[in-house]
Amino acid sequence: MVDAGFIASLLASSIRAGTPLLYATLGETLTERSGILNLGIEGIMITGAFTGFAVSILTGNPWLGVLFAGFAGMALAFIHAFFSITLKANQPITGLMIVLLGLGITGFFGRSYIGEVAVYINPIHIPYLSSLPYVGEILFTHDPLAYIAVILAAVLWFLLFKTRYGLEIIAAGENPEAADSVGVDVDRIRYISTLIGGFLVGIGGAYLSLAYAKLWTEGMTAGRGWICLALVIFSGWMPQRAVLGAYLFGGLDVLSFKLQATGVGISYHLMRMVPYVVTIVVLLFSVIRKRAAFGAPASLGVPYIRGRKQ
Amino acid sequence: MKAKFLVLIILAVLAAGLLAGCAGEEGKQVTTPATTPEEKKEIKAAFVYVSPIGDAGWTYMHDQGRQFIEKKYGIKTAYTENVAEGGDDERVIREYAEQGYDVIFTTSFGFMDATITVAKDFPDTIFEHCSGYKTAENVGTYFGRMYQARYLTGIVAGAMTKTNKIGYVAAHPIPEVIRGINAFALGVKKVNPEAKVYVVWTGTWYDPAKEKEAAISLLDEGCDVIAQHQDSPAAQQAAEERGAYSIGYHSDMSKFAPNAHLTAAVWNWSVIYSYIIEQVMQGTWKSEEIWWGIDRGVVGIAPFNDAVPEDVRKMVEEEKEKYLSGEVAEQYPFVGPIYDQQGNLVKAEGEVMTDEELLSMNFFVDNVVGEIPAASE
Amino acid sequence: MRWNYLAPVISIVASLAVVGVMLAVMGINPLEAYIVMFSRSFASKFGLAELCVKTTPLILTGLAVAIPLRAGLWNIGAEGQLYMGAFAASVVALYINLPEFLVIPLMMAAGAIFGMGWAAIPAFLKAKFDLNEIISTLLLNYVAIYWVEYMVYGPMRGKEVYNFPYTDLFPDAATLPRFFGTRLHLGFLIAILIAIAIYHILKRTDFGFAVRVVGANPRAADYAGISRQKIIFYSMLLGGMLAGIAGMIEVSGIQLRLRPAISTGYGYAGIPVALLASGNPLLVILSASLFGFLYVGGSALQTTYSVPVAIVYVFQALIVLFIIGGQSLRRGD
Repeated sequence: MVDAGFIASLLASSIRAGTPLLYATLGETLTERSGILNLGIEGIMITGAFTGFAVSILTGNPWLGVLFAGFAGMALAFIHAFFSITLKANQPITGLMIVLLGLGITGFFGRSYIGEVAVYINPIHIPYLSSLPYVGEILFTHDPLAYIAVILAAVLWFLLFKTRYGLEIIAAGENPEAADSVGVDVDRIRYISTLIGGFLVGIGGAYLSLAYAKLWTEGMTAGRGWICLALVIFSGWMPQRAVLGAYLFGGLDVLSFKLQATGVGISYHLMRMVPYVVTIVVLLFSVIRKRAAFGAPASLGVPYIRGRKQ
Repeated sequence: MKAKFLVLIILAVLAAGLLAGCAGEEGKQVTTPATTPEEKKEIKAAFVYVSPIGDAGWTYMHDQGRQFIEKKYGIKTAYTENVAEGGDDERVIREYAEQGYDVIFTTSFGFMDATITVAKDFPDTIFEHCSGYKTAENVGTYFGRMYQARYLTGIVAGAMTKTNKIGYVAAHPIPEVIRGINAFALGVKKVNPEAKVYVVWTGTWYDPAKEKEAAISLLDEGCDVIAQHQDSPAAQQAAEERGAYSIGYHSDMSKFAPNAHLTAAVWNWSVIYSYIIEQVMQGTWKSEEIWWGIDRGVVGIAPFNDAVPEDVRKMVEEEKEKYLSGEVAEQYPFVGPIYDQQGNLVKAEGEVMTDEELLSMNFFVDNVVGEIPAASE
Repeated sequence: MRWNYLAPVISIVASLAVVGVMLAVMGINPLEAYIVMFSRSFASKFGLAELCVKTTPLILTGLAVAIPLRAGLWNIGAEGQLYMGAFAASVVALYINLPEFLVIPLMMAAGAIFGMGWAAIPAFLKAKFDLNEIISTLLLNYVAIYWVEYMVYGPMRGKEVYNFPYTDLFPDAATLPRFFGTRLHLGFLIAILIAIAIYHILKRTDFGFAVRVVGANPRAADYAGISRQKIIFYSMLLGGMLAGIAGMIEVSGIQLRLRPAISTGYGYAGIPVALLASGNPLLVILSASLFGFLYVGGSALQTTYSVPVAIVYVFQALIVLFIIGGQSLRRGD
């Protein structure tokens, strides 16, 4: 049963299932790199899913939907940023409240969109390349958003590690005092990172409702936001690793379905634990090897108050 | 400082609470006068839902029924959604009873114990519990024999498959789902003994992306008809995109998959809700165990896709007619011989499964490929 | 100084006002709605009992977050610890033959030990490898929840449940006594007593002193010869233990059996509960009851006005945001 065709379709599915996770993980990576912990991904994603769907219906243009999903994500991220940065409030709690807000707002406005059909973003089969054996199916049969996600990961990697601006973001997350002392506006950096992060998470939601499962139902993100929190850690706050991580996590679900479909008896309950257990094990390996805190920005979740030693 | 702050909040809440409490007590006396006969006609019905109405499936269909009776009889209805089974259900049901609702519908199996408990304290209130088996003087149960519709759709699937592999995307291995799969598989077997039904569990009631992916996995393995026991139509879309066929569930899902969607096994709760409300309005209500089938229209099948050929339609109509005419038992197709996956004879030739066996069904028939998690003995 | 007293009042009033506008937009008289929320929670025997029922697990999960927080640790894993405690207690209730008077104590011990054990994993990783506990505790929640789901769908599925994913009902000896014909059960009292005990432990024992020092000033702890690792480890364990007991109480007092979704997010709600109480165990009782009120009152809004549950979420989120916003403003001055 497990042959090249099986693996090719597994990999293709993994990319599909991993793409929404990738957007959200990239967004959260950027946010966390600047020192802000936003636990509200689930709420921002569902808001993106709904906004994208609704705007696509209202305008007939799914790409406008994606754009506005990003803006909606940004709006929620702004609430988080305002509380975390300006008010210096507790970040985990604010994040959890963002989840409630997102689920609430979309549940309320989303009811009238149940059972509606929007205009969607469809896969494009890249000529010639998509007819390559196996590789064609795996790499060249996706929708534009799936490709954009990978490009975004590369851009984010470049931004974080190869530009001065990236240095400032990382400095804000590692050691805001030091950054401040050399003239970096920590609050501004954190605001921008959180907002752009929210934009990307929102797009991840829109991917679900406009490109993947092409419909809107309440709570359709179904816990993906939490998986992305694990993914950020799994990838060690590195955008390039987030790509592999997202596809791997997406693929684990798919693997469970594919094995069942071939008649292999596995417990899908136990399969669902795997991503979380794997993340913990990966974390363990990396901490044991390095004997130091694993990649986490040193000031993650700590409000920066100017002139006060942490 | 923070301590003071919190104490302040709590005091404010308590003070407001006591004030409101007094006001509430007064209010109560106004709103619940001794019921006079004329007022009794104005009945109020409350619905307790297990998931948000926006699930687009189970609760959504019940809510359609609620809206229907609200319009038809001009009665006041109320609902509470997303009520946790075992934890919050008892409080919500009790609140409705205290508020003087005449009939309270609880629409999930898990609400059974809470419904019975509250019903003991409110002997004058009518309770209707969906899909359970415990009744009382003032508690009735209701459900639909969805498996009959499943069976008919199975005939369509069995006739339309070319690969003899039919996929079934299912949520959780509970009896209702298993019963549906088996009835569907028996329908398949009736017209196509060679075909097998492949089951994939998603482990979730509504996660459209996963449901779609599960359907794709089945399509990748060569299934060319996809059926589902999930809330959203995502699995239908997967079939549509791959040029395969699909069988919907809950409602007519053809809008989401105009080419793939052959038919669907659909709910129409308004039939039962209308019946119960009429009984309550006329004062003739008594505790019943309503388990109606396709003959009463609680369940049914959606209009056929053009792709379904005439002979298949005819076959389905003939089988449906057997229910309408009473030629077969309500439990049909669960009439022997029925074999399980291991080939054991579960029901001998001509024997009919009892309702209790149906309600607690926990095995797959012999043309199903898939596993049910085993309970330890 | 005056701001200290004004800020909380303003934040509460502001949240009530914003939500009031929302309600008014939906055609509901906000004042009337607030009266409904209060009277349903306070003005009847059952309402009050339900308030206590909802408050009980929140006190314990609030403490489960508050104690490690005192040592500077975030326990986002109370939800998972609660599930593991419930699981262990259910195993004792269903499968172990004991003299009746021993059943409840042993269930509680099992719940406590499993909650503790589940917390020991992130505690160990934090103490030994300095692994971020926010992350490890969060991840372990899912493992615990899926574990319970696996057990009730499979090995622990009951014989009298029509093959639904529940265990059988616990025997009477394994259920906590209830009072006044309501769902108010002994667990409420236990939770209060535990909160008082924890207050004294933190205040008067060497361990409590060490926890406070480690949380307030890690360097001072080093100078004072307090092992930070040890304190981190034990404070997390103590938190896990209480969350485990919360799980035991929830199955033994309310659910009376194990099933897949036994918690409506009590573990996560413990975080704002702990924070509002500033980690003070006695204040946790109060802040837990505030949240209990938000649950019961929110549900009353639904039963009375049929507002979508979504509105209740927004309502709860806004109130908490306003409160922590108000707190922050005050702190900022």
